[in-house]
Amino acid sequence: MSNKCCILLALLLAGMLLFSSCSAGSEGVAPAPTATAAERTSGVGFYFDTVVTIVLYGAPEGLLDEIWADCARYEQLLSKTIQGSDVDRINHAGGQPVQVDHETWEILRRAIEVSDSSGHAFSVTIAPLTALWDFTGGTNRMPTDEERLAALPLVNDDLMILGENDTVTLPEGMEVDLGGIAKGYIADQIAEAIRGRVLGATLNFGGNVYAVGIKPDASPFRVGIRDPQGGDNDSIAVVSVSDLSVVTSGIYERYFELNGVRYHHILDPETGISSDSDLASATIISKSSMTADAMATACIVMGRDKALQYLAEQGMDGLLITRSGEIVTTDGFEDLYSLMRLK
Amino acid sequence: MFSQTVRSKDKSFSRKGLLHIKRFILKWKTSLIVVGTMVLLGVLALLFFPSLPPSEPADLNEDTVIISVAGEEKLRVPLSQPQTVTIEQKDGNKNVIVITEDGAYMDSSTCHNQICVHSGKVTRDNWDYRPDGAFIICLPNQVSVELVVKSIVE
Repeated sequence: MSNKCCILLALLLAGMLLFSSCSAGSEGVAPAPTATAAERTSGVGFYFDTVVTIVLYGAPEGLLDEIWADCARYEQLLSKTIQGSDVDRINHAGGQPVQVDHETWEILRRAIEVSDSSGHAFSVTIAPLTALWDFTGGTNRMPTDEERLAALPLVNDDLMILGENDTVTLPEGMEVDLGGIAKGYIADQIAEAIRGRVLGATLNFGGNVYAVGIKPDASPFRVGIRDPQGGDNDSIAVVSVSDLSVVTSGIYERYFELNGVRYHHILDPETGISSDSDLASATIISKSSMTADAMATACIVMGRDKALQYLAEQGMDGLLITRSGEIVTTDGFEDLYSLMRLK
Repeated sequence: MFSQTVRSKDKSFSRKGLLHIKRFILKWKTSLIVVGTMVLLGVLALLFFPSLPPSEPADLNEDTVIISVAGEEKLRVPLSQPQTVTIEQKDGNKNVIVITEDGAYMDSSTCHNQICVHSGKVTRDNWDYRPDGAFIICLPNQVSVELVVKSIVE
């Protein structure tokens, strides 16, 4: 082999080596995901009594496992039913202060903010009331008036004290339930943790959808908004989002019918009965899935007019669907999220 | 003494060895440059791109349904092979999944709420705007069905 041939061969092989390393969309010390890094990873997990679906594009190896580890950690911290969790300790402290993880304390602080801003249409201490109902177990249990009226004074976010050094004090008999916001908080944390490490991702925590980045074809993600009068997976509209969370609360999610009345899981903290407002669902789009989660619940309780005013005051974007099927949105919503109506 | 002897032998060996190495280098100069360049560039490539991601599984080269139980993947079925899949678990729970040429749906389930059965069909056309996206989930039985559309991974 001549010298020239050898040198040519060396350059060719070296070039191929470098090219193959780059074009495979491989991870680096500080990888910058590109459109070529479109490898897809997905998984389904069962946490927080719901389903978590994750789809990642251009993710480094092991990222999905990191996400599941985070889910498991948060479940141990925030579940109401796991003995020894922060929430369990707060609820069983008999009125004594409990030191909790800073994240738990922060979730409660932000929950109180939404509770205050919504005039307590959203309540984080609603657990004594929800415990009287069974929307999922098939027993269709609802409280007697006596039980309900006895539980109502225990639902009062103002009585929870968030003290120094991450302490939480709750009067005896009261209980917190982070079911309405924990999934949003976890979605926010995981979205933050993977941002910049993936080309794009969709995180769906039982209806709290977080779209991170973009799709491999560089377009935003599309999220369907369920038709309250349709089947379980019929969309009434579609929004396009990137780096935003889309959260929908609806009266169709968990409910039972008794004597011709539909009782659903969104309880009015003031009455202890399923909200009877004119709204069937509320969709909020925000950088904060947790805030969107709490506000969507509050909107259902408020009803259309109050909810629209509330969202405008809070600078939030929302789409509300009334029980009669009418779609109303906050200003600019349609253009901001390329709203596509399917009905 | 022992060590000196050895050193002496080493020196003798070293001189011969150096000559051999010199001749070797002169004879294979070009080839060594080739190999050296490749090794150097290989090391540089590894430094900047330390690990390659796993390549896309071969059976995702076409639109495929992935069926998992409790988060663990059990089966992949390409839409080109329509069929009915029955997932039976040790606790007696059973899910029947029908895979057609354009998608998949949950035909029946032993779960108490039947949400998965009422979730409709996930298809090539609707997977990215259904409320549940590309998934059909049976929460009580922890069975999931996911449609992976090839165009999105290209």
